[in-house]
Amino acid sequence: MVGFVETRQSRSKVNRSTNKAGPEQVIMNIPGLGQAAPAATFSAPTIQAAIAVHDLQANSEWRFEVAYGQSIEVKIISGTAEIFGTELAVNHTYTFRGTKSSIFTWHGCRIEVNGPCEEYMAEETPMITYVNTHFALEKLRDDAIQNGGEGPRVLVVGPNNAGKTSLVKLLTAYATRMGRQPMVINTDSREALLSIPGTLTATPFASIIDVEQGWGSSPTSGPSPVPVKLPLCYYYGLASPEDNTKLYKPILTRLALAAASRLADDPVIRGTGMIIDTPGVISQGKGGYDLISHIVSEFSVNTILVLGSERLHSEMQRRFSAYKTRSGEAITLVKLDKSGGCVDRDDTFMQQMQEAAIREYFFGDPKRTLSPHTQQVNFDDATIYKIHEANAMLSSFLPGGEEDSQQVGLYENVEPSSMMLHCLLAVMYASTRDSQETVRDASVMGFVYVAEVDEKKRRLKILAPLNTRITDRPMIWGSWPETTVSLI
Amino acid sequence: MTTEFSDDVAEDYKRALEDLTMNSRYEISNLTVIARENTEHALAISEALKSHIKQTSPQKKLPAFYVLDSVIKNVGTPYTIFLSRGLYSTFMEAYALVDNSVRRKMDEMLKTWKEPVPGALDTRPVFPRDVTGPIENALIKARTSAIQAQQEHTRSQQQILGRGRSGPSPAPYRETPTPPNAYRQPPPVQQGYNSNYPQQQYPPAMNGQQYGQQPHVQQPYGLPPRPPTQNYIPHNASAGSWQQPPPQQGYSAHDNSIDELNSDIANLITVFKTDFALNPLDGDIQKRLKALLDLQSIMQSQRLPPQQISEIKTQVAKLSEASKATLKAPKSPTPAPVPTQLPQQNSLSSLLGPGGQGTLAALLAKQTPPIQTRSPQPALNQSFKPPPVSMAPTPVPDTGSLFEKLLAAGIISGTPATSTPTPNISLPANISGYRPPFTPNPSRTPLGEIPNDVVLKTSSLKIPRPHLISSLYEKLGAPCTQCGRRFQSTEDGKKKKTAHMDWHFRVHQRMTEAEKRGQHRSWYVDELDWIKSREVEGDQNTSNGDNTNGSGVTSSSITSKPKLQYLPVPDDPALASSTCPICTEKFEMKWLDEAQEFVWMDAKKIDQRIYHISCYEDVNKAGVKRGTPEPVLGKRKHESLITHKGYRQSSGTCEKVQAIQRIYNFNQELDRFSLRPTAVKLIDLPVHLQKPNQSKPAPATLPFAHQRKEEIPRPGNRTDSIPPANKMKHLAAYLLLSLGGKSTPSAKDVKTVLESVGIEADDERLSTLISELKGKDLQELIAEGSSKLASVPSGGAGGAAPAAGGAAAGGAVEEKEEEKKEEEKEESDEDMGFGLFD
Repeated sequence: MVGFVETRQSRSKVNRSTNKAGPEQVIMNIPGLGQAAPAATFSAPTIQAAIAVHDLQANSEWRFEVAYGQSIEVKIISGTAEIFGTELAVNHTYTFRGTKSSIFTWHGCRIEVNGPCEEYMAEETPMITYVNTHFALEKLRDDAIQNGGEGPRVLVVGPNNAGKTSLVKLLTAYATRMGRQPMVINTDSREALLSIPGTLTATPFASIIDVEQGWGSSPTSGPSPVPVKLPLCYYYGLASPEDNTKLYKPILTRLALAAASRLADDPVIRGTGMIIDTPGVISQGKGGYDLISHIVSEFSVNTILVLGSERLHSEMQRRFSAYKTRSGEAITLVKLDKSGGCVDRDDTFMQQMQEAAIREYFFGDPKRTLSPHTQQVNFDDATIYKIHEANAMLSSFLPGGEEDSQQVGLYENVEPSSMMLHCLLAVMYASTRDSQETVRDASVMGFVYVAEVDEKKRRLKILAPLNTRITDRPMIWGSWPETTVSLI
Repeated sequence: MTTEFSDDVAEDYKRALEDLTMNSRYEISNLTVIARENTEHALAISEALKSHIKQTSPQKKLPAFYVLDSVIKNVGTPYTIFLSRGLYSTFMEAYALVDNSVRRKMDEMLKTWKEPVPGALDTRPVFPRDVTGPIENALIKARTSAIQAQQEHTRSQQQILGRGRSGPSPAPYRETPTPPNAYRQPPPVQQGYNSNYPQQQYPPAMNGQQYGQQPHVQQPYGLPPRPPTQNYIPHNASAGSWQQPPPQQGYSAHDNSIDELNSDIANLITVFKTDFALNPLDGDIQKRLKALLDLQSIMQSQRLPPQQISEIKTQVAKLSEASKATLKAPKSPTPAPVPTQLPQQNSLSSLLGPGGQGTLAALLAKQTPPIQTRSPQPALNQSFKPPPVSMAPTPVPDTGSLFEKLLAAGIISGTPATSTPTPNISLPANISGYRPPFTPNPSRTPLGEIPNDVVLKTSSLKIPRPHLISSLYEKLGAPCTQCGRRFQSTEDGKKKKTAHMDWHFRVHQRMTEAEKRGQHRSWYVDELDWIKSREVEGDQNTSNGDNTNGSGVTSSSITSKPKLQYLPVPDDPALASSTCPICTEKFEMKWLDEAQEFVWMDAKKIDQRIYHISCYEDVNKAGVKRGTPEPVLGKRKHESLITHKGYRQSSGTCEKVQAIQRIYNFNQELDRFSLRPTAVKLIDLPVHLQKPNQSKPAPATLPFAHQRKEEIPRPGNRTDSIPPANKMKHLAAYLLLSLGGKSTPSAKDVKTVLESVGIEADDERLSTLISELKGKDLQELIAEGSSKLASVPSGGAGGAAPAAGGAAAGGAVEEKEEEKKEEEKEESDEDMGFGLFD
């Protein structure tokens, strides 16, 4: 299988180079015939040069990676195709930038690709299991609607790079296609959903997911070609939940509370239930399992999907086999296979992804440009809280026996300094006079970026998405997302 | 109009038309707008359009006609005049060249041309009768001759069929070129195993109804191959009539063939109904009847491409022929052990099957002796398939080995319980070549609604259920060409799709606008708003106005927020420090997010002067032009000062809450007023003077009470002052009458006086007034009032008024009598002199 894949891959590269030589020649890969007759060419003057056409058989997947800074255009010529569950329109050009993704087809399709990317075909996918999972959830949703109860609260756990987010996206997309409105909860601060990394969000999905732009976009002042989604954001501000569980847990609790209130209020979402994405790190150790338990109890999870890890599965089984949710439901635990398409994303890629998310927040995506505002803020006007670093670190500095970190506040009120340069601050929906707990529990209004710190004049130059006074709100300075290079 | 310029326009228009390759709402409306904007070149544009329709390829004719249609309906004259010239030839020439579906569209269009423009006031038809008449006549003529040809054709076909059936040993029904000399015929209804997706079956327009890959029959694996009892069938020449269906161009050429087909189906249904009545227990007949009914509903509810129609037609014709045979011949005592097939969904694809030969074919097959059900399904998609010639003789591998292969390929799970449906569309190409030798289980009950039996168990999740996939695709209807979202073909779904396409169009339009304007990311919503917000399907909400964010989200806070009226703070410093001429207050400056600048709320510029909108409206609405509003306003100012202070103390509270609070307070005040024992009291002092006292405890309990006054202090206060105005009219009239010599004027008298100057009297107030003043000496009252007033500063100047109010407040706790006198005095001082009746 691997050999086959590689031949394809190399051949399609060759194809492209030959195409450049002869602009009128387009090489088609015909499954089954391709290997025997690699040079099956015909002349098709109407099709532009440097375009590769792939035929995908039914139930196969075309996986591709586009580096940051590059883009490819993909068009479905015929058949049906979907990206993480979202169906692609035929004859519509989709542009992908900086992504690792895949196009799957249930019925077979022919796609046209224009641009440089790493690619291969895969015929073995866990899609059947995944789609069946969706239909199993559908049945639970039908039951829930009939009985007026809540739809399944699905928790997806698994180690890093197991395809959790992809599965969440897939289940979300399938549910929306069938007219449902799932509530998608992201508890992974490393990777944001419709926001900037470091946030935990809850977002109801009623409309199609933007396949070109991750999950889509949060509201802007202008129109959007794909309906925007409305996230509710809370700011955690650290990369790993274990860095500061004293902060992470209450925020999760608050998030769960808000989501539950929405569910109670909104019958459509209630019938569909929630899909919860988790950070991979909590699936990898003792402390993490406690966090899983916390999530399970806070969100009244009744379905846990374990991706790819036997050990995690048995651990979950041990923890939750006798567990009952608040409403007395037992927890269904299923182990799903990891997709072969999952790739390890290295730190560089994650870093780039982060930067792209931040850039997108302020400046928009290529389809629509946003213009942020800069404004000057006096040091004295700004109320900035710095998140305390990891508990363990802190307690090690304290004298023995006094490790009780409760004496230390959640945040530290700091004066702006040059340390803040190029950092992001979360502007909270709270008042500067509010207590730290209130600030912690507040939702995020938005983010500002510190573009300049003038310590002499005691002034900050900040970049805000829109020109509003923000000094009457407390701002939180987290260490995640990490300091990036200058945005402006 | 310079012809040269017209030529340019026409040339441009022509080019734009050439780009119009498909039925794109956007482009068509664009072209219409161009036509509208260039009515002076109407002749040139009309000619361009006509010649384009004549010259362009048949596929592009329909969009061009839509442009024509849109132009005449939306722009009208002079295009109607220019385009009606030669419309006959334009229309008929195009009609002759296009295919049936387009013709239907054109027929529809023609029909609308005979009617007035929808929604227009003009009742004249779009095109005059003498333009559309000839076209219609010609079409009717063409149709009649077509029907004749059709009938001719059907007759001849039936003859052929009749011959075919009369053959001594009926040959298997087959359409493959394969000579049927195979030793073993593959079993029937194999379409489920054609894993090669028929790519060429995907015309974009039909996308969504063509992937009928999944089998309609559950076929358990592991059953032994059927004993080849009927396998040695001599090839009969008469089979040719089956193999080559009669030429179909005759059908596709005629527009009315659908009607005929419909009636054919209806006839068949009647036949089967009778049959069913005779043999109510016969499941076969019941199923066939159901399939036919399904087909009928599809035919009536959907528009089908001509190929499909002709295909149905062929099958129906055969079926009707066969049914005749069945009716004639006694029914075979043992029903054929053939699989029963029922469409699981009301889509044509399920009836026709992947090759267009699904259920109907099987249906048809069932009508013929059992032997015929053994025939292979026609393989329409042969591009990826080994040629059928080599296929048929291929010895079918024994069940076990195939099963093993399937297992090895991971296609079916290790324990394929026979009760679980395991049909698979996903056989890899190398296996799909085999036609699995399993016969359908005769005992299997037909599939109705396919149950969703997936449970969250690893074993259950691993079983492929291709039939469920369809609920993500074709069952959802046809996709939107822009984003792939699918819409049902039901009435509701069509409506949604139209709204959705409109949404795409609008977004597209607004995107370019927004590009110029500059956009920015919005703040995230806060918790409460988020919980209260509802997701609206992206395209449904935009229909109700200019929701500029184009989002799929309507936040309740957005919708419930009243439209804010404001004025940007003027740059001119002199103007910036101006006050409202009516209430002499300064304007409250406020930062407004929406406007992205500092504004004066509730302000409006009228004739170079800036007013509070509420002040201005009140003055106008009340219709009372009082010469000296100061006293009242002065008191109001006093109040306003408090409220302003109150507002400043707590900024940043939700406007929504303020609004509600505002309304609440306002209502309360109204209630209080109307409950006053005497209307006279309302007139002046008590209300205004008590107010500060009364509202003193309010800030503690109602933190918003004052803010809301800031927002709309004027209407609230105005209502305070409107009663005096009205009241004074009554009082003034009363006084006039008494001056005129009537010592005790009646309510009717007052009314007459007021009405004589066109003022409506308030009966309630009037009667209160009359009853209060009854039996009192006016002169006395006035004298007493004057002496009281003398102790207080006159309420003349604006600045002094608060003091007057305040001072009077102290002495306000006096008996009614005195108050009344005072009021009378004031009134006579103020209103008597200036705005008496207005």
